[in-house]
Amino acid sequence: MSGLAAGPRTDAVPDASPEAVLSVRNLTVGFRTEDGPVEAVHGISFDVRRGEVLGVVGESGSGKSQSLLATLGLLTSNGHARGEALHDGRNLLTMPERELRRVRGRRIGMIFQDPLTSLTPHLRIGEQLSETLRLHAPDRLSRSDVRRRCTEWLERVHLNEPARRLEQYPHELSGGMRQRVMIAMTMLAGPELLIADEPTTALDVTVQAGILDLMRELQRDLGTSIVLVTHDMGVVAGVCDRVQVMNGGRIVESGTVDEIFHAPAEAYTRRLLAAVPRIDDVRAPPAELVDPHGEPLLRVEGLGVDFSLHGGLFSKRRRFQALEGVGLTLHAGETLGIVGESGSGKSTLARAILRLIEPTVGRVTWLGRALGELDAKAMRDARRDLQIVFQDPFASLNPSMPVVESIAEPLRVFEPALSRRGRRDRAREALSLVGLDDSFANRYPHELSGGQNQRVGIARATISRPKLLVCDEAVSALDVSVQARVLALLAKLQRELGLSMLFITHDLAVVSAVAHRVLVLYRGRVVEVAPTRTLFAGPRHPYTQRLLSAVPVADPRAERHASGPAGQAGDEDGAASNAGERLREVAPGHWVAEARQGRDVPGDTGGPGDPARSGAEPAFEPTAPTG
Amino acid sequence: MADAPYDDPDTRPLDSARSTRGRDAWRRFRRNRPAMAGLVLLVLILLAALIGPYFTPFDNETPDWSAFRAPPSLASGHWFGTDQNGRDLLARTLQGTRVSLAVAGVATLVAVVIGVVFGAVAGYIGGRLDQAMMRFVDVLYALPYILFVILLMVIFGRNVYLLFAAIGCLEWLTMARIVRGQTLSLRQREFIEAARAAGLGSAAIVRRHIVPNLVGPVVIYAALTVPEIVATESFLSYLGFGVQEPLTSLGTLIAEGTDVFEILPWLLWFPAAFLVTLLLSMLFIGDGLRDAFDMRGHG
Repeated sequence: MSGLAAGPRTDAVPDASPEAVLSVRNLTVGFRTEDGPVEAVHGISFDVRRGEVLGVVGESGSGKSQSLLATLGLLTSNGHARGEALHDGRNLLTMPERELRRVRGRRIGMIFQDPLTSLTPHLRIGEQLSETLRLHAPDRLSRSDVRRRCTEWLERVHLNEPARRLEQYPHELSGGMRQRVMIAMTMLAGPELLIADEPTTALDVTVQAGILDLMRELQRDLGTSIVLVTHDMGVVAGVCDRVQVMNGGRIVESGTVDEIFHAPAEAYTRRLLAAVPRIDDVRAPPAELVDPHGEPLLRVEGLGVDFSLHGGLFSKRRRFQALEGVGLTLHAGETLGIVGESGSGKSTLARAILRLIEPTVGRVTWLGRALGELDAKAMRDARRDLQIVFQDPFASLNPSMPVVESIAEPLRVFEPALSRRGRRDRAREALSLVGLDDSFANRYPHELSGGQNQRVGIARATISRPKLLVCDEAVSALDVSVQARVLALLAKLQRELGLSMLFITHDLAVVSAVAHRVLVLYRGRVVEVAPTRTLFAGPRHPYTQRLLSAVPVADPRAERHASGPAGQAGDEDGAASNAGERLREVAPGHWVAEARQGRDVPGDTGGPGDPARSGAEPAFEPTAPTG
Repeated sequence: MADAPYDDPDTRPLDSARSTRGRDAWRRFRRNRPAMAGLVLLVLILLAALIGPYFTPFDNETPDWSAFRAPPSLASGHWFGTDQNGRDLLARTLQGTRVSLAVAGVATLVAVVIGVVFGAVAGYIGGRLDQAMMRFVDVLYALPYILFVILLMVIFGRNVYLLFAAIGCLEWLTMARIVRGQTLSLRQREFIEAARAAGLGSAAIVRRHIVPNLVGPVVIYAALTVPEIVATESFLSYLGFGVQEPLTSLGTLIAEGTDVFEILPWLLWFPAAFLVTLLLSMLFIGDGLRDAFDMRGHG
């Protein structure tokens, strides 16, 4: 698969060292598939030393997860492993299932990416915790002892009100709280090794920071060894002592975290690190490049979206405000980054602007025309200029259509006079613009990689030569190196086609690399708008500050200074819950929400001397959005 | 950010080996032995029913005056024997198979068309219209099937094809429910939103994006509906409704055979064997199709 030879640091296969908790030797993992046998891991060897945090990083398909699942006998039924995984002098790979089960959980714990699917939905937290304890505790414990130990551990993972949590069901907890419960559950049995497979990938950055602090604390206080499998170089830099980089089923390089980050020996590691965008190295084009005085292409004022949730035929409808009083402007050729955590309403904002969702209140003005007032036909014509690239490259393409058809689809609407042949020619042109040649035209999405499919999505969005491209988490589902190339492609298209972009993402590092200006959304409201460099250099709003400090930086030296005390989960939004905010200009082009009596509609004006206008004002409801 | 920092593996041209969803499904189907056996048997039966009558020594309605109630024999040319009226059972069985299959095809086609359109519209438009349409389906479900059939027979009694088109009008209920469920989940997918962002109208979205992605479940359910209707037809003919003499169907033949089973057992055995083989092969094919189109775990 990979053309890389194994580096000198991994060639020799040393004997199992005495201080290792787990010694893996010549581990090969293979799968039987429809296309014949596939080898995912090609004979790797490594040690996990007592009391260390070992980071295993790599892109998807590198075999990083499979190599650790294999050591615990957790491969899917079509997988098989050869080699040795020595724990306490015994080979886990040849151990009978009965004994392996005793090692799993009691001696080696494992936590997974999605804490919701790893917890049994119909059992209370307390029941699940005590079950673990009863399975693995050395002697029989009384009911009150079990309860006491469970409560202790929930406290230890910094869950507030631990006694009440024991009575709750998994769906009543937030993602971060569930992951803390998972960690408590795994640690109850007192394992000496904890294997964490992408434990924070599904979580928001502020929540992720808390979980990583917690893992670090456990390792420090209890001496538990931790193997952290992740694709995120920033997470590795913040938490790990040693790192091994995997690619194509081999260990490319391993060493201390400082060696890997500051003196990488292998070209692959260097490329991987170079592809990671970093918030401490803002590469964004300066906002001054865009003419701030001209009339903006897009102006959004007082935009609000309510969703009504209804339980069924006879239950009352409830309302939920996804967006409230959002304003922004976008100029020709400009990229505005819209960042926010899950539930902040950023995707709703994109869809409301494009009228894929009808806004409840507010005004979207495009080239001087109010989009909300257009009828169906005029709106269809306007869509020619307003295109969108979606997050999931597979899901956003019709699986039963060859990609050339998907790309040509907008032409059926916008240029109905074009012949079938003409459409195909234009689609091939659009394909070549995103770097794919003719051999891709008649493929189906399932035959292409994520990065290739995303290029197809971009080709479809740009075939009608739009003026505005909305990128809704367009690179979030991609590996870092693919992400870097897709970002480069978007930058190229922006230059060549003169596109304006709304770049929506949860990833601040990505925004720091592409956006002229950044808008921060929190719970459906704008909390801060500023030129990218200004925002990253000096965030003013407490929420923005917290968000920026939570982002892990792919640099161990910077990360060591940054680590703060672990917060209590359950009040994870303490810093920014001052409802009733309006925007105030603190510097030219830099607007910050501030607490106020009475509510005005916040507006972003984009330039000096262009005061915020107040539009229709939605009735304020104190219901906080959930999820 | 610099363009293409290094050789971009995403943009390398693809080699020529390729597969489509259909081809993948066919590959999986071919590996399913019972389904392949079913397919071979079904093709053989179809060929026999369609072109067999041109090669049989006797036709299905003319009595052979020299051979009444003749047992099966290779020498006489009546390989399946004859009935009480001296008609050749082989010819009658082949002709009956043809009628049974045609009737099932008509009813299934009607059921598929109504079910897909009804289900896709209800699922895509959603809201109150969906509620109203699906409650209508629930009401039809609740009415007794056999009552409907007897009513339809009063109306269409003379024409068996019209009768079964009408039966198809009853069989679409389950199809509509399946299609609506699939459509509801398709509607949430991003490519539908992408189509809306591209400016497509509702009708075009249903036609171009919803219906083609329903092919898997629809083909599978249709393959399971055909044997159901063949069985329904047999049941109705057994009760004495259905096709009229001199035409016959597998069900009619079996009904007649049952009456004289003790003295002329071959009159039951041959048509029954045809029916059982036909139903089993179609069920195996339906099963194989379900597995072949099931994309879970196949990317």
